[in-house]
Amino acid sequence: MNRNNRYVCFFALVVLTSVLLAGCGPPIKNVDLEKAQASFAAAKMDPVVVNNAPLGLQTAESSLQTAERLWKADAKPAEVSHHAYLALQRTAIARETANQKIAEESVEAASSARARVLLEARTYEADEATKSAELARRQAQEQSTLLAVKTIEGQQSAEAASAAEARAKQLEAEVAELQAIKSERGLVITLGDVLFDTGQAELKGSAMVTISKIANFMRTYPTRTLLVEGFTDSRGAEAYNLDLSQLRANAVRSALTASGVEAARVAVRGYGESYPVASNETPVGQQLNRRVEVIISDEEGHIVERR
Amino acid sequence: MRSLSLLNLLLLLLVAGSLVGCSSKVPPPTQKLSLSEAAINQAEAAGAVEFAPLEMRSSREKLAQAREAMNEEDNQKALKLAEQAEVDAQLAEAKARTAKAQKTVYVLQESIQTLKKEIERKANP
Repeated sequence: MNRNNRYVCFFALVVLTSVLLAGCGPPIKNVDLEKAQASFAAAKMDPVVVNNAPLGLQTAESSLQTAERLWKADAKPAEVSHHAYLALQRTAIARETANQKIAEESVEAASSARARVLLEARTYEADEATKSAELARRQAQEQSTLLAVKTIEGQQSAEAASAAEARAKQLEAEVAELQAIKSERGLVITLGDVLFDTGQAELKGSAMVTISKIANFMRTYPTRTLLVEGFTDSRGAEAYNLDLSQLRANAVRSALTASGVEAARVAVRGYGESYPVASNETPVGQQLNRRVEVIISDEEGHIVERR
Repeated sequence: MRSLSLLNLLLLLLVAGSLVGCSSKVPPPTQKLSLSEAAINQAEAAGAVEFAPLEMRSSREKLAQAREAMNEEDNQKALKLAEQAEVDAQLAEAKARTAKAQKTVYVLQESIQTLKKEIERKANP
């Protein structure tokens, strides 16, 4: 080989090399690559994607870098487009992955919110049930208390009624025993003139039956008091009659206290000829007027005085 | 003389290298095809047929084309199509998962609203 040949050879080498290098020079635009670049840039700027899909973004980036390297090396457009497509899809996958993560977080939040609401509902229901149970229980209790009270009251009033009835019956029996007459002033027992000797103040023995009956009655009813009133007919001097009536009343009181009635419970009045119960014109009337009346007070011990 | 032969050798290598760059021998991308198929199956399992039908169709078409290319011994093309089929399937799967999660959120929120209304109705009949 001569010197010229050598030059030719060197020239050929330079041309071939420059041709190869020229391919790497200013490459033509690749639409797919630009699209992928724009999509990736947008994803890279999106904090949602950056924070939630960093790995996906990395994968997309390496695909994009491959595409860019091929493009810069002036590789076949189809080759660049292929890798650009992969980058584009991987960017989309990163974006979807981020969306998925956010959606899954929302699912979790909604689940716990639902659980909370459910709990709230259950709590409310339970509270209501407790409340109504409590109410029912209280009502039942009140009802039973009321019933018990009513029963007791009923029993008491029945007892009281029957006791009062019994007492009234007893009283009636005793009053009947005393042969007392009910008047406005109380129960009046009239001891007739036959129980005294004429002009005398001593009680005959036959009067003692009545006296002991009165004494018994007074023992049974310790709150009652007695008023003993003596009367005469109009024959004889008035002063004498007054004395006599007083004495006879006193005699009755003495008999009563002797039978156990406290003296303090027995008051005495002598009215003489006053307050006749019959005409003094006839012997029968006179006899009726000669009497001692024993008045039994009410339960409080009150007796209305004569006026 | 010796330097010349060296230059010639370099020239030869460069030419050969540029030629190789143009039509390199690529082995059949069988493995890549299986990967793509697996990605498609996974996407389908995630409900992508319902939630990302476009991506699914694209993925399946590309997989079919990749098989065709491989049969025609255009392994380079087959590999690219298989790669694209795979990312398409992956995107479909991601979309399906997102859509399903969003649907779940919606259903849950609906149920919360219903519950709240029910409570209100019970509280103020």
